[in-house]
Amino acid sequence: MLYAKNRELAVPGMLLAEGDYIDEDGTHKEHGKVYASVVGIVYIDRRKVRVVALKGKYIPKQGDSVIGIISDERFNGWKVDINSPYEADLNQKDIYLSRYQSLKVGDLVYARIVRITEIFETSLYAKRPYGRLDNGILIEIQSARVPRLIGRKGSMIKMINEKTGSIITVGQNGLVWIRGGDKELAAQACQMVDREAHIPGLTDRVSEFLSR
Amino acid sequence: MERINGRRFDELRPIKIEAGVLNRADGSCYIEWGLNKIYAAVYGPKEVLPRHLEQKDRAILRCRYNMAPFSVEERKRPGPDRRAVEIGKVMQGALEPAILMHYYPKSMIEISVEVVQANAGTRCAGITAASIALADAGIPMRDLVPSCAAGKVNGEIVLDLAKEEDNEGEADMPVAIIPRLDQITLLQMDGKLTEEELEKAIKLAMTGCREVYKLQIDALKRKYAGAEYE
Repeated sequence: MLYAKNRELAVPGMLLAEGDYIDEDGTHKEHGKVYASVVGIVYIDRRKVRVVALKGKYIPKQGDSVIGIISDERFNGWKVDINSPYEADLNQKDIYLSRYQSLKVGDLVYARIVRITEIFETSLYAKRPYGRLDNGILIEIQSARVPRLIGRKGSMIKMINEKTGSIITVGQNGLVWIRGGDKELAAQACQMVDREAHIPGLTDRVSEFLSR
Repeated sequence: MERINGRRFDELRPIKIEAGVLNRADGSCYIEWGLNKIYAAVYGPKEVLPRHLEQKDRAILRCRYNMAPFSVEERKRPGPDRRAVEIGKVMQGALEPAILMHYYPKSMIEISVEVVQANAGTRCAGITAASIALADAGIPMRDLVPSCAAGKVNGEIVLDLAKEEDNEGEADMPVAIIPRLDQITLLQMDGKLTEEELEKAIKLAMTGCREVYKLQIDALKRKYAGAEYE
């Protein structure tokens, strides 16, 4: 028995479904009933119910590609701040550095989360195509807006890339790294997506902004 | 019986709620409840400070309640006092059962409630606002937590006491509930009530809470209406 429509706005405590449904992200199940636990949009896929949050801190997930900032050096690797409540570990053997490269506190890395425990001990992997990031600027957007910035099959990011000539790397954690081309313009476009993600017709407005 | 501003015995003061009003906080809410004006801000989940409070299997919740010096008739000495610490403690107790704390082990959620103007019932308004701020911050919760007081004035049980009623009345009893589970998470009382009066007051306060709950949902829906996602 479903109580919510697809793409409806949910608030915490809202009854979404009853009976044989699976509670995925943003929902919880109690006594056979599925309730929303965050403010967000309901998506129902057959028996799976999920609520995509409109806001919130980034929580690391296995398989995510993130941008991190080295925050501490250890004897066999580094501690990495991944813009979330939890720090991640990067082992020395999990990153390729040429003889002239080094990794110090404050440096940026693009990495994949390979392993994560129940208490969020997070391990990163940063060999190719991942690795150290150089010569660019870093901006921060809300992690909930990352899918909007990427767009459907990467359409939004491709458009910004074509119009500004910048190479844009988006971490799932809301950090965005921009290299080459008109960096300032690309950064402004990314910030615009962050600010106006909830207003319909976003792609057209960003396109218009970049053509100006 | 005539009440101060011509309210019925079961009528709330006018309530205005707005979610997401502060840019620097992760989640926020502003509430006007009669003459009360209160801001609530939420930070987190984030790293636990001080470190020794960290819980390996769950998040911790810290609440701070503060009254501005100009919020009351006579200037209040700024800074935390006995009353502020107590209200922070009961707010934490009222909100924690509604939050899914085990989702974020080893982290901390911080709530800050700032009373700009007070007119009785600030802890209820504070809890109401804080739970919206939590939802606005995207923190997973079982339900929102509405809160409302009931009390006894001139021998009669009434809902949501205003300042004059509170000062002259016989009893004041703030209640916070989790509507979906029908659970009471805050129950305090100052003054005296008989057993029957207590039962009646709790029932009345709970109906008041349910009205507040509707306003909370409205406020969140208003803030996020028209949101789409791909």
